[in-house]
Amino acid sequence: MFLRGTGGALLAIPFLDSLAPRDARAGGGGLPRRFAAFSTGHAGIRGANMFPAAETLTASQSFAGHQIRHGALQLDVQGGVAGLSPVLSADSGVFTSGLAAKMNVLRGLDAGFYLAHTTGVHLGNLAGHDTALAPESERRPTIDQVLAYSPKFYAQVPAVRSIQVGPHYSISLGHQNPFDPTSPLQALPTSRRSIDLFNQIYTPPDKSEVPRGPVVDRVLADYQRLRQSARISAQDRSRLDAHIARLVDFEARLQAVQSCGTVEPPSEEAESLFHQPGFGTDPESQAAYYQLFGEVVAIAFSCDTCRVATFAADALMDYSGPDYHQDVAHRADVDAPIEGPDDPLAQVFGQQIVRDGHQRFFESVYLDFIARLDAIDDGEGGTLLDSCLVAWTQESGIYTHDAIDCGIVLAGGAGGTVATGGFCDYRNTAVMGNQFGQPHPGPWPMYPSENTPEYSWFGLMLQQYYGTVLQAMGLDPEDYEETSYGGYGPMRIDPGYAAHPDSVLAASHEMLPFIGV
Amino acid sequence: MSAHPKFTFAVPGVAVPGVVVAGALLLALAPACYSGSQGAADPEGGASEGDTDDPGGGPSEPDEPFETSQFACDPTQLPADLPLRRLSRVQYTHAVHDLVALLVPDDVELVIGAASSRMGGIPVDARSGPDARYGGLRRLDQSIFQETVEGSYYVGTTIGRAIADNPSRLTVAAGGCATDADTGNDAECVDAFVRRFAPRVLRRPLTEDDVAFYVDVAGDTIEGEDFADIIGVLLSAPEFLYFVEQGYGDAVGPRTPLGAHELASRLSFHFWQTIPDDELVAAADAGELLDDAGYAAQVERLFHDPRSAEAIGEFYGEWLDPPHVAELDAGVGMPDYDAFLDGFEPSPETRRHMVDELREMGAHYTLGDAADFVAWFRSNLSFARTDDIAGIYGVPVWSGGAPPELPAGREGLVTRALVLASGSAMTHPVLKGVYTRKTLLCDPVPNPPADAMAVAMGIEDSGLGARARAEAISEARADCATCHTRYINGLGYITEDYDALGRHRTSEPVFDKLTGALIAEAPIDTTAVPNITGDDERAASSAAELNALMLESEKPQACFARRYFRFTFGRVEDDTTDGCTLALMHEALTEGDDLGTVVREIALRPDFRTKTIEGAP
Repeated sequence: MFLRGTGGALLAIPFLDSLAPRDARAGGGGLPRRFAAFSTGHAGIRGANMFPAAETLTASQSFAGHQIRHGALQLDVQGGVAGLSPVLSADSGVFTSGLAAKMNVLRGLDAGFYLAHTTGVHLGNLAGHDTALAPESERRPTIDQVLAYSPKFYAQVPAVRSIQVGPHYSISLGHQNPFDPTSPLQALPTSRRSIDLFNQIYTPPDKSEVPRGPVVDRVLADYQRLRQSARISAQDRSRLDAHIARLVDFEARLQAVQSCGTVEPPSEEAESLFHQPGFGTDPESQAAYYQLFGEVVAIAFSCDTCRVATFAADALMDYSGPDYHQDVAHRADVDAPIEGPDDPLAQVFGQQIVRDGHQRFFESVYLDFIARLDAIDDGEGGTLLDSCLVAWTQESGIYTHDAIDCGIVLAGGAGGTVATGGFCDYRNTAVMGNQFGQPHPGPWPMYPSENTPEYSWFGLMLQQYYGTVLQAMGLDPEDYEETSYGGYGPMRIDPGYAAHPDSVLAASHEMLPFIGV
Repeated sequence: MSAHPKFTFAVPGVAVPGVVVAGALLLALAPACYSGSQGAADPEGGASEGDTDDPGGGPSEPDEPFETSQFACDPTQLPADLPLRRLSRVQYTHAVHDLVALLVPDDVELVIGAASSRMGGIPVDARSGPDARYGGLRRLDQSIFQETVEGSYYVGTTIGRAIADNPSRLTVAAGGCATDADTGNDAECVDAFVRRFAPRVLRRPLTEDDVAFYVDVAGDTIEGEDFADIIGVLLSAPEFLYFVEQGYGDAVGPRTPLGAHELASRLSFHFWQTIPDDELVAAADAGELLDDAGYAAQVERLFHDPRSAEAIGEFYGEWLDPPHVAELDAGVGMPDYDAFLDGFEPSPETRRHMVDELREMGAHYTLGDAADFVAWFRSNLSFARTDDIAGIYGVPVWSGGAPPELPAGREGLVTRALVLASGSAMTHPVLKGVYTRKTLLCDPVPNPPADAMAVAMGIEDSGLGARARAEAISEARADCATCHTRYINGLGYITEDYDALGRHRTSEPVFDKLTGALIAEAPIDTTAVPNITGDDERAASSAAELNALMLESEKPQACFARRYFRFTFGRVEDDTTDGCTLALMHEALTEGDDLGTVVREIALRPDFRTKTIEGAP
């Protein structure tokens, strides 16, 4: 079959059935599962802009001591535009009811402490790297890296364990020695050149570079013989072991079979777009940048050369002011003209800019990617998307600097482990959430006010979401849990967030309700 | 396409009369926030999350920021060692280049070019340290990534192939025996190649076991490709990619002397960012580096060699690069910024030119004629080699020789374009203050209150200048004002007689953001209490007065000592166990030793020349 690629390229994507041997599939039967995570950065999207209407929540049930709500995603189509919400809307030719039926929209997931200006919220390293937020001991590898080195997820060593994309930074964190959980944690580098990434996941760029087996053997032997020296310290040896572990993994991965058939490389290099003048204010270029990488990741998924990818992205912005961070993200509560001609930013309406930038991201990046996956026949009557889980997370909840009521968009059924097509509202509308962990009313009654009309409410824990992803990808709770509460990572609850009851924390063993099959 | 038409985006009636949010000035309240992108970022591509995650707020107790210049030497304390330090990416790149030059001196660029895409796959080191965006150094990034391991392997094998696949290159690299038709000399040829090339890669003499190991890579039947394999294995070797230091002889225990070749390696990579040259290798071979005089002679030679300028420049460039200064051309097209530029045309290179000036300035005072810390810190000379920066200063472009003098009043680091610029139409006095406090004084700055960024503050007069706006925003609320008035703002106000490009001004034009029209000419007030030490109420009104107060506190000297320590040893200092070296450097800097001497002295210190060897477990 053929998949339309960015820049007019036609990419021949083979059927998966011939490419994914059963014994390589995660969790036993079924097609291999894949996980992709998209993140967007600083700025809260108001609930009315991000989520489907509350009226669509037609069912409720008791969970973890409070009522949670659920409803079917109802795509509204008007004038060629299909939407679930202002942000979750797109061209109806792409955003079809069939695609919407493979999505989930979640709200009401919380961190248990103040969390902002961090990349850790997306994939389970809630402590980030900032000791002002949480002690270093609470840092954890991100869940994509848990998967990348899990023998349950990869029964055989893949050609590439994980892909990280991001023009500015990475959201993935892993151990220096990925096979030694006591080794230091480090943020993983990102791919900056999409064609280089394509060459990496598809085939080496130059056949003559294909290494001859003995060379890697000898490099490994060189490290092993140094390791025997009695004159190097235990700490030196630990770092040597990190290098050795990566060499061993490298050697094993060189044996991985790449069988993608005839795949044409992407026609355009993403990095060249990134360096074009005006990239930061040109949403089309930004979209094309991520699409080029998305195209490569789709190929990697379809060829089964890699099953994990993270995209440290940003909303697609056309804001041309010098300081998005301050002028927009920190004014995300402003969404209409301000009476105050003396305000130098009187015409800068942060929430509108945030909303529009994220709508573009949804349509041109996230939806574009899942549509690519959904266009690939899996050879078993479904599409590649059906065996994937594709997540989109944001740094904030509905307010900037406040990781309460975080929204998560999911797509794909993860090989039948995730029920799709639902809007899941996990908030406990009896327990008011509080910005910055201050009891309500706090010293800064941010709401209710005219600029901040929405209340936030405490819900379930983000740790449960991380665990849900891991379970959906075939891991069992005992593979990753470390506290009696369950979920992934330590369960930190600061005093201002203590309204999260034990019943909520302890529910984190399970997959999130409504979507867990 | 536009968003869904069903949804109404505008929320009516949100105006709050008399209370508006001055977003640009809220920047002042977020000294730790990255202000260029939506997420935390490392614009240069490094991957250290220490560089990316950012407090930006949240509950934290202010650290006492005024104890950072006190060092105490306790000789009984043992400095720690950085475990298995790896070459920085810059060092690695230079070393590969110089090793290829040893093999094929006439084809270096071609061979390196063949591996350029592989080289590009090796992650760039991230500026790292406890507060990486303020004085973070790339040498502190000790990450080991899969891409690092695979990248160096592919670089090695690609270079090997680029040489071995070309008979003329292989002949130059390994001798005619490698390409002649005589198979009888092949084994000897490989042996000779290993004995000649491997010591330079591993940076030590070979044992016979080493020779056997690397010769064995070729196997029994020797072909040209075997030379490629040997080169590939050597360029992936642990003793190439890391500083493998096992100490001198059989001695074990704390602070065991390093071997001569280990010293040569440390010196060469520290001063030159690359492998030892022939003379240094010869000195190591002869054991001269184990002798104080011989070692000191090599320190002198390396220091005075032009190759040391790059490393010195790297140190100053990374230490002093402020996080708050955006690309100077990013705001072009904004009406107020265009009006502010007033004919100045920033390019994508302008910011880099500003950084380069500080690199040049540091190298000049450190490597040139004897100059002490004060001369550098208070310099009134321009090191601008480009029209844009020289134009900002109003001086001729410096093209070597005696640097031009800056106009009267422009004195010291705090008046350099890189420190003053903001990338927008207005200066950022608060961020200048944070930068000065953190980067030049090495004081920590407490995080702002968690909700600081979202607080609406009133700005009643749109004609206010940057200082007045900063005061209105950051000093109105008591919990903000505590830190802003005591620790931060004053440091930035004193240089408000320079605009957001670093041009001198006597009044401050304020432009309408939407139209670029001139709204007002705000007066300049540069008088403030910088409170360098935490209990000093003296005011300053000029850069000269600010410099004097800072130098009197001896904090900048202590800050230099800390940063150069990190640059030298690749790790963060421990005030207790590293107190002797820090105290020595601090004393030398405050007593007026020239910078070059201070920089050389640290290479003469026992910490630099020894390592704790544990011995057999």
